[in-house]
Amino acid sequence: MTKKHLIAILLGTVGFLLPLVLPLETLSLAGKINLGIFLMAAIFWILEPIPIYATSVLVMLMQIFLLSAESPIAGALGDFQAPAYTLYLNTLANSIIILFLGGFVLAAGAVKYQLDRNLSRIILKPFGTKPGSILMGLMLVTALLSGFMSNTATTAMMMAVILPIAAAAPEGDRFRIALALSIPFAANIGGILTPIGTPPNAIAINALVSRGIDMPFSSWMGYTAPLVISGLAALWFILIRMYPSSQARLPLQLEGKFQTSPKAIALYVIFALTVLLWVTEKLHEIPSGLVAFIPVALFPVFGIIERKEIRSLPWEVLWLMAGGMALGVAMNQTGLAVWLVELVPWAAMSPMMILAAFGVVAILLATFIANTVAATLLIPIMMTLVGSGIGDGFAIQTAALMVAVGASLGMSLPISTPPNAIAISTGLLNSSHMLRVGVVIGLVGYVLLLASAFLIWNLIF
Amino acid sequence: MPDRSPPAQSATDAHLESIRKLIAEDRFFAERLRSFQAGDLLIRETEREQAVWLILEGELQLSKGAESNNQLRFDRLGAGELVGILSYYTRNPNYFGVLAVESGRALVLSWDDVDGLQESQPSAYRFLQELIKGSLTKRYQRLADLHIEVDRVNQALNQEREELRATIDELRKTRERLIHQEKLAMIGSIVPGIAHELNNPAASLSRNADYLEGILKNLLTGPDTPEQMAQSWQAGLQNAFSDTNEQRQRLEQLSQRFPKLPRPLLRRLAKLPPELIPQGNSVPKDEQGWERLLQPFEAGHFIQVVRSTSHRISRLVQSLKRYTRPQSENFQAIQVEDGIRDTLLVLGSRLRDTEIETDFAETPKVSANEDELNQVWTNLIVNAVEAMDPGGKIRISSRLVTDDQQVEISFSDSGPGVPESLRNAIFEPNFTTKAQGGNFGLGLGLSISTVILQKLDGTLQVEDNNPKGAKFIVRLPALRP
Amino acid sequence: MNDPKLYILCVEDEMDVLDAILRDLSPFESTFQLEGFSSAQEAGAWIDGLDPDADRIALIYCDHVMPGQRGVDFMSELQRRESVVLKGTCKVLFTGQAGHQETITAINEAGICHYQAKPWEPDELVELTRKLLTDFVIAEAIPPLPYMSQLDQKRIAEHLHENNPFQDA
Repeated sequence: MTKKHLIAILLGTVGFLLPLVLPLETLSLAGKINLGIFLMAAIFWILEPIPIYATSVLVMLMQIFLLSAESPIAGALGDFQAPAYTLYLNTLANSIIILFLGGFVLAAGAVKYQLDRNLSRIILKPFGTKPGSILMGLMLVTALLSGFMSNTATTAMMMAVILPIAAAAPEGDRFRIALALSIPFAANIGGILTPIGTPPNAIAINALVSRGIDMPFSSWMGYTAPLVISGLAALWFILIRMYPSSQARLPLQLEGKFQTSPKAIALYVIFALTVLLWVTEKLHEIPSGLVAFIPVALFPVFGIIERKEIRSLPWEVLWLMAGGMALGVAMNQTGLAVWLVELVPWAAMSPMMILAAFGVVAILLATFIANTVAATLLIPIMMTLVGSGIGDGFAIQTAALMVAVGASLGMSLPISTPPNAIAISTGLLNSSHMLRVGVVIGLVGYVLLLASAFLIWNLIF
Repeated sequence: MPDRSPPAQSATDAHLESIRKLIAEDRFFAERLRSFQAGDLLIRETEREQAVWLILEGELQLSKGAESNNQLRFDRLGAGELVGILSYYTRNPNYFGVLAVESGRALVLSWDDVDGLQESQPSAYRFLQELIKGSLTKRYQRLADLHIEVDRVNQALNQEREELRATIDELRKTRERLIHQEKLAMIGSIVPGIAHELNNPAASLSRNADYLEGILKNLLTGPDTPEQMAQSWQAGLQNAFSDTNEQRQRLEQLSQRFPKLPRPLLRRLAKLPPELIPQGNSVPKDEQGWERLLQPFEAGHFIQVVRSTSHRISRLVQSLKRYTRPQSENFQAIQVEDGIRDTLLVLGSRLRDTEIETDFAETPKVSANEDELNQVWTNLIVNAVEAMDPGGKIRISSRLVTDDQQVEISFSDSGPGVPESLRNAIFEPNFTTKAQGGNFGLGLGLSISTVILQKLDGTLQVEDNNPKGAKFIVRLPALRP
Repeated sequence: MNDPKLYILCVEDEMDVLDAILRDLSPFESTFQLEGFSSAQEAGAWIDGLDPDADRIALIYCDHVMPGQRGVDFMSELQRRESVVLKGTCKVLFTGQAGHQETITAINEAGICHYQAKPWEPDELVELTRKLLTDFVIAEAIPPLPYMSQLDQKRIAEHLHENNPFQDA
């Protein structure tokens, strides 16, 4: 353990103890404990002395032991109606988590039978060999796939596609930078498209669901599609302007064949069925979390994924989300969220300004820390703010979308998202390229976010 | 076959004389007289001749297979001896064929004649009996001699066979040796060609390094070039490789002093002599500046490497030539100790980590080619150095072995020694434990040394050194003062 | 957890040859640690000083014909060491003239993964190194991103895609 880690742990501990010793008269003891957990989690998530998923489960543990009805100190919590500890634990298997699990399983099957690779091949074919159109095709494929698979896995796959093109480009061709940036950025933007595209979406949807507001799969896609499409278009335009190709044509080698084994065909059918049921949720009203369980159950049944693949599913991402959700639950229960909201004199600002400000904070925070964590920290406060009547000028869905989408738009640093980290590791570009385009995309994205909020979401909700 | 006259020879002659008289007196005998010429076949084998021949003059040869190529000669019969006696007594066909080898006459009596003689001329019959007895005795004696002779020949043959076997063994060994020599000879025959082919590019390398040096010298030491560059160039030309440990330390120091510089640049910088590393204000501002400092040094260094490499190729070629064509001229009277001192001097830097102790006695001179002998010393010393860890010790001593007037020089090291099993192998070509420089790369070192020493009627041996290590002993015949 | 330092070692008794190898491999020095040694003994002792928690030797290039310990014997000795530092290390023997017996030893006892003839083409050496380093990083499940710029990136990208080593967060 390094010195840096030690200091972070010390800071986290101080963060936990601070609310207990400060004279915070308006906050209950439960609220103080919750604030302590919140501060500690925030410090751990930001400085990462332990992995972020470990912080998540630590949060759950502390809540179970300090803030549940079964807690040994439950009696000392005074007026606080401590919930059953299962309320916190249930987040581990709530419908959003299952929705994500479904997404993971679909992705694992797709990778195993190279469905994703073959789909990308099919989609890329019509885009020809001109640099501009190839770039457009690559971004489209990446965005679409990352809407249903993890942004990181999609980026890894697409990097394998562009690396030979980049290697074939003449030394010093700036188009290489365009290629290397297009993939992670399109993946980051594409993740916005569906509820399972990236974890912040899940945090937002869970917050809405816990307030009794439904957010069907297809509705989410409808709300975010304009932003995703215009964001991709803007990115495409920026990239070919800033890093044009010196070649008239590029060699794009797409080889491969759809697998036709019975298992592969079973995968295609179940995959198509699941996605179809998701995007048509409005028509049949089968909840997406329920649909997600179809591949979770049927893939092992048909032997499409086996023990090895099940073991290598990214379970820690589920823990990370569940811990974040549990923290949100506690902040509502203990009144911490309300207390925090009341700290700021919101009345001085117009609701639109507040909304705009949260968008900026979400983007900035997500630039430096994990997107999920940014969403986890901001969404409970944002939701409470709207619920408390201060943000009367906009709908609660708008607030949730604002933070969740904003969290996906922070991408100007290599550490901002895992796809960025992969791209920078290839050495095809350096961080100044990423910063330049990332900042522009952040600004453009922010404008699109505001436009979506005021021109679309606010009119619908 | 030695001719031993039987004691009865004179008796035979007397009886023969009596028979001759009878022939002259009696028509019966005169009619039965027969002349023969040398080469006549008188009796065929297996013919039923039914006659007894008494040779009066000339010589007959008994033989089997006279008509075939595979003639077996049995016995020669001269005057007074009889042919056909065996047939006569056994009534069997003739056992031998009879060939006249010297012309003469014989008395040919049919079996009936002989039988009748007993009655008609008892005295003649008695002479005949005597002659038959004499002839058989003679023939038996010759048979006994023959047996003895056969036995003697057999013994000689056995001995020759043993000798042959030993010779074949010897031949087999010789053949192996010859094959090896043949190989060497073949190398020898292609070496001049290869040597030429290798020497040309090596010479060209060396020449071009010289030209390059001249050009770079002009470019780097002109009045407009900074003093630093000229110094760096000079240092590069004289740079010797420092050992890797030292380089690592320098690299660490440099990376602490200039943490911003990339590692590959620092690694190159670590080769620069410490006094040339700029300090204070003269520290270059950018990598370009560093390159301007480094590149003259590296240019010099590379020229030096090219030069030493081409030199190495030439030395390798030379040693190859010497090995395959070891006859040399210019034998001089040499004081071996002087040569060893020279060699130690030349080896210089390679002996840096080795302790050398010499113990020279006053020895007479030997007759040898100085260069070749120095090569032997070089091989032995370098072998010892390379066999030992740094800090090893070599002791070189010389003395006169008075018994057989030989100068003995021994090289003892403190290395791991030579295992018994390798004692022969190390003197053979291609036995190698290393790959540094000249001869040694070919694994010919000790093999060359052996060849050189053999030519001088000298010897090279290895034994265990006390308490550890190996001891190589060279002996050379001393020149008489 | 910090990323391990990955080392490339070169053992060669002839200094000018060692210099050339190090020079050819210097592109890797931006991400890997490059060290040169003039004898097996020196390298062996230096390896003892590595930190098992932080250092891994990815690749060793070793000359075969050297004074003192020969390449194959040195590699066999390393193979017998049970140091974490040497786990999965790829060993390359620099030789043009290994005999039959030595080849057997190389495979059975020394775990040599490649023979490299002398003289070599610099580009080939760089490509070989890239391939072997990529093999090492994948086989040893080392997080590849910090080293990716000097590895076979396509293979690493495919490896990342197929093995989900890390995910959106």
